[in-house]
Amino acid sequence: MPLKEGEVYLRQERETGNFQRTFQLPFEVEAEKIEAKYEKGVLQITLPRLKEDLPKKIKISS
Amino acid sequence: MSEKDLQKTQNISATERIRNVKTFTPRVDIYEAKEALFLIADMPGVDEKTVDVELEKNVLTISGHVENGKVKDYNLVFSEYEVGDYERAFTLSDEIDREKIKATVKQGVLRLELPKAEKVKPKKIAIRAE
Repeated sequence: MPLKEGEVYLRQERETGNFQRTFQLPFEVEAEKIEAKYEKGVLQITLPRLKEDLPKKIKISS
Repeated sequence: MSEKDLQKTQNISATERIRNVKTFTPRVDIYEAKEALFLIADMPGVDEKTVDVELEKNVLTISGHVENGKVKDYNLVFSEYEVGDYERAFTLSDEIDREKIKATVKQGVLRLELPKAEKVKPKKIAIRAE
């Protein structure tokens, strides 16, 4: 953070900059239903799995 | 910026919690202006209801409580970001006007304004010609 004239840092531990990160998802997601919220400095993204891609239970017939 | 720089550091000297949660040391910037000191602390996950600033004698303690990030009905498959409380204490010198300290929090960043006491503010002394 740039300071104004006459101001001086006594301690500087925080980092500033941009964030970028890419993830490979393990399953297909429903792109229209992705939700993201940014609260209190924390980003939360919900990626609903595509129904067709959900694991299926196979019935065993006797 | 390396990834290690983004990790939170645990505060081992913090008062231990009853609940078994980690306590982190928030990173701070402190800068001095003519009229005041400013302290900025990164405390992601806190808001005005869960952050506390306390001044006892000359010790200023900032602490924040963060609810565990568990989402109901979901299993955690990968975790890099640890969730826990924050705590850090600073000793203030007499030059701070204790009655006028202001605190605000926005998007997980706490900002404190610590105004200097009148008597220590720099004064310009007028010089008269004789």
